[in-house]
Amino acid sequence: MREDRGVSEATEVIVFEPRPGSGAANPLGAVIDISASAMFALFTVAEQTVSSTVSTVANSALVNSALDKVVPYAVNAVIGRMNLTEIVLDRVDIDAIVAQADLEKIIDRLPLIDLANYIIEEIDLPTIIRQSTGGIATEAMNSTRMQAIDADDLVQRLADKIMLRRKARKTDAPGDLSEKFAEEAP
Amino acid sequence: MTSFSEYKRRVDSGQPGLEADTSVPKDARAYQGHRAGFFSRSIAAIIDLLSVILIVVIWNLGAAFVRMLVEHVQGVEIPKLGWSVAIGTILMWLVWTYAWATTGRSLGMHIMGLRIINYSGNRVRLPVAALRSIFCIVFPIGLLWVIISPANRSVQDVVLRTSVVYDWVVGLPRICSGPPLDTA
Repeated sequence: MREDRGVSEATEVIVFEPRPGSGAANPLGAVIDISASAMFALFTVAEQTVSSTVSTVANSALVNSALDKVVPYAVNAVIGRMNLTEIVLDRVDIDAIVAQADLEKIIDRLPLIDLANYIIEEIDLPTIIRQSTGGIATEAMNSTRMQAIDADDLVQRLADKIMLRRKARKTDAPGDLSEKFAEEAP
Repeated sequence: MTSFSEYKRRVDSGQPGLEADTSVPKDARAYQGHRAGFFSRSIAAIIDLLSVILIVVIWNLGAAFVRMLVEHVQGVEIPKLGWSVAIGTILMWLVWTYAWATTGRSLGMHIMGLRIINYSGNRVRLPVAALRSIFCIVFPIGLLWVIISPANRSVQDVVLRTSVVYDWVVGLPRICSGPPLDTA
């Protein structure tokens, strides 16, 4: 076999060998054997020629470029008509895949500190700590402060009403303290 | 509820994630960092005043007791009121100056959740604190301007460019992503 720039040529040598003794005993059988061997050889040659031709055609640059363009469209068209999620859920054992996954590598990739801070913020851990450790004194102080704030509001409203002031007071203070809670301003 | 991806985006964009502000009860968060009103500030000042009066009274009682023991004076002699007022005034000035220049809040302000900041939102410097302290002692009526001011500022605040804000924040430890401590 010789290959030259992707094109291969095959040479087949067909040898007809009648089975020993069969021709003398049964000439018809010898003819059938020879015919069968010839047919087999022809089929073999044909198959190899076809596969060689297909291989040659498939390896050619033109066909490759055409396939590069056609195959993605064809695959997309096929996939577009299929519910891959459903197929995967039906046919793939996800638990088995997950069981073999290296969790430590996944954990290494997770932003654990951010996750921890996020959970602390979401569950309002400081409030839980405050409630569990603050005790009556803290509660009383917070209550006093809130009552004082309410009294501040009352005094402000009264004063504004007496002075016929319509605009709300600008109580924003400079610095981060007010910016931090800008979206929650009263 | 904020999802983790939203939280992460917020942190990545430089906005505060978990801050000490979560130490503030939710009801009070709307007021955090805003200029305080007349009532809270008055209560804070009264608490400071009462604490100084208490210190002066204890001081007088202690001094009288020592005199009784050392000089064998019969009974407890109460010093003249003028001296007590003078000592109380000086003490008040020192207490306010030190408190405002260091933590930004005196005892009364701490109880009422208030803090003094300067024009840029930072801690006031020692000279400003000392000056404001004198101003408050000499001209306490200046606090009444908070009622009238459209920005909740007293006369002292207007003159010295300071602000008294609600600040309930308590410093809480948070998880940091810095290098681990060397425990070796």
